Amino acid sequence: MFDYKNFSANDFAMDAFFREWVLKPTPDASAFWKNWLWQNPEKSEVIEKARKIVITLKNAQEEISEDEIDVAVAQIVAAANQRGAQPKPVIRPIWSSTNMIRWAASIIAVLGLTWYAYDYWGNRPSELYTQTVATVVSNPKMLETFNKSSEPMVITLPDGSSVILQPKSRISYPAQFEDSVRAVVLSGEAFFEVAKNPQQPFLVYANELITKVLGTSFTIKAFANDSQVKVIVKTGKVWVYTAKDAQRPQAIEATAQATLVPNQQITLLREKLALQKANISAQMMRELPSIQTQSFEFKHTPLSEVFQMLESTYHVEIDYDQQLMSACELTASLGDEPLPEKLKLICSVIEATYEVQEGKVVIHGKACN
Amino acid sequence: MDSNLRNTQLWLAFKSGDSEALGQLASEHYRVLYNYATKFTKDRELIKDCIQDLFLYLWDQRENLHSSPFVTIYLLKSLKHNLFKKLNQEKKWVLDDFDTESPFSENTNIESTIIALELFAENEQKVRSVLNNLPRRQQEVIFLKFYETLSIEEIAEIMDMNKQSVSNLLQRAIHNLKQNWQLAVYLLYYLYFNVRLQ
Repeated sequence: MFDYKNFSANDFAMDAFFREWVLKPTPDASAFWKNWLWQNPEKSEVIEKARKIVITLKNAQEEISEDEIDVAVAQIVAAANQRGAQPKPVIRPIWSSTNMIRWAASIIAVLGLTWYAYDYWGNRPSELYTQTVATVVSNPKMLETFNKSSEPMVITLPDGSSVILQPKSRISYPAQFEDSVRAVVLSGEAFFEVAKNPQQPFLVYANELITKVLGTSFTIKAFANDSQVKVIVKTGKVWVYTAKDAQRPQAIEATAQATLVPNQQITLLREKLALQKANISAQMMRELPSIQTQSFEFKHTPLSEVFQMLESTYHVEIDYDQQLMSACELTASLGDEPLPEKLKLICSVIEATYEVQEGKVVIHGKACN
Repeated sequence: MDSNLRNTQLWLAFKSGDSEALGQLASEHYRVLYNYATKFTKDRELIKDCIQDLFLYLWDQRENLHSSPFVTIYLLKSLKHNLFKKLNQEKKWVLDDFDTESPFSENTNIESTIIALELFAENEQKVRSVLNNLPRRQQEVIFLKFYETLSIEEIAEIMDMNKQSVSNLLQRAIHNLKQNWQLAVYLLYYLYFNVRLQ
């Protein structure tokens, strides 16, 4: 080892052990250099200069951004997931065996495999969905929910927005939204109640369609195998455009057709990438999930009825002391607030608090007079 | 010690088919692989394809692997191999910059040139342009030595050369840098000094 005491900034920058400490500090190197600095405090300025040189030399050879790496890595993981479970093809000549039993066996095996593949692919994300997730959301901490059950389920997003996810539907969202935008990716059907925040637009990527809102409620229907994507608005205003147009922001601003108001729906014909707007007929209205048409107006409504209605529209269980709170009633006009906000409003009226425990809403309240 | 345990756990998770582990390993090594690849081609998409192919190949082979392939030298070597194959297929080779065996001038008086390093520390763009003007293999050797701080032995293995040739190549890189830019004098001294230590 050298006598580091006589080293200039040049010399430090040249020293491999010093460089290792700056670039890839190991516990040993850190301990050594910290101790050395403690013993030679007059050298701290020289060390700082040397650090700068080493870092500049490294940065001058830097060619890729953190974001770009995140996107590329997400694509690798998505590709690995897709091939990871695919059975490797086995190639064997069909006519090599004259034994009929083997033939019969192989037919059964093929049937079995088809059933397995059907079941399997039915639960798998589509390629378009996986790709969209990889490109849209750069946050490495992605959460995904897939509704395998036959009942709708409610999800609360990190910003407090509610999503009622229909069976066989899938949604991806980051554990923490970015500052500038709230982006989620949907495959299947869901009803959204978006927490209002004009500074942070909420974007839903569903197949080839992008829906942009600031705070409103609406349904999106976008199953991978359907030839159409539908957006139906309950309250507020939404903007829709195709993923293709998203690359030309000025085109989006100019497309008036892409703005939707309540009781309107837009259909994307996926093959032509064409948008069609229409008013919702009474017939269509009846086919929608109950929350789409549900109003949340209460006038001296017993609390038990209010909770029952929330339970059935949001598909959650609400626990409260029925006896204690039997005299409570609610007069309120709730709109398209997400579920947590609705609960907060109700609780403030009846002077109660709520918490979520194991997917259940638990109300801590008191008796009303 | 902690990081060793973590690496082992990651590698085992990868081997058992955990794609999140693959993601972590990939993001830890992506930067150095990408930057290394730019020494051979500026085609960003081609580089990304090659890196993805490399990680997916390891993923497919995970059950046959007996020790972790997530070692910088191994990854760099494999990536270079993949890149060369692809570049050959697509005939994208630029053959103009294979450095010739020009004799290294023994008279270069390097020790006498000490300059203010503060200048160097604040001139990332200039350092970049000087490095980019070097022939391809000289850029490669400088990258391995100073970006990744590998030893001459390890560089020799990645570049398929013997140690002496690596040292000579480093010296030629120094020589060229000096001609390129007056401020690079610092680098010359830096490199020369290191070569002599080997």
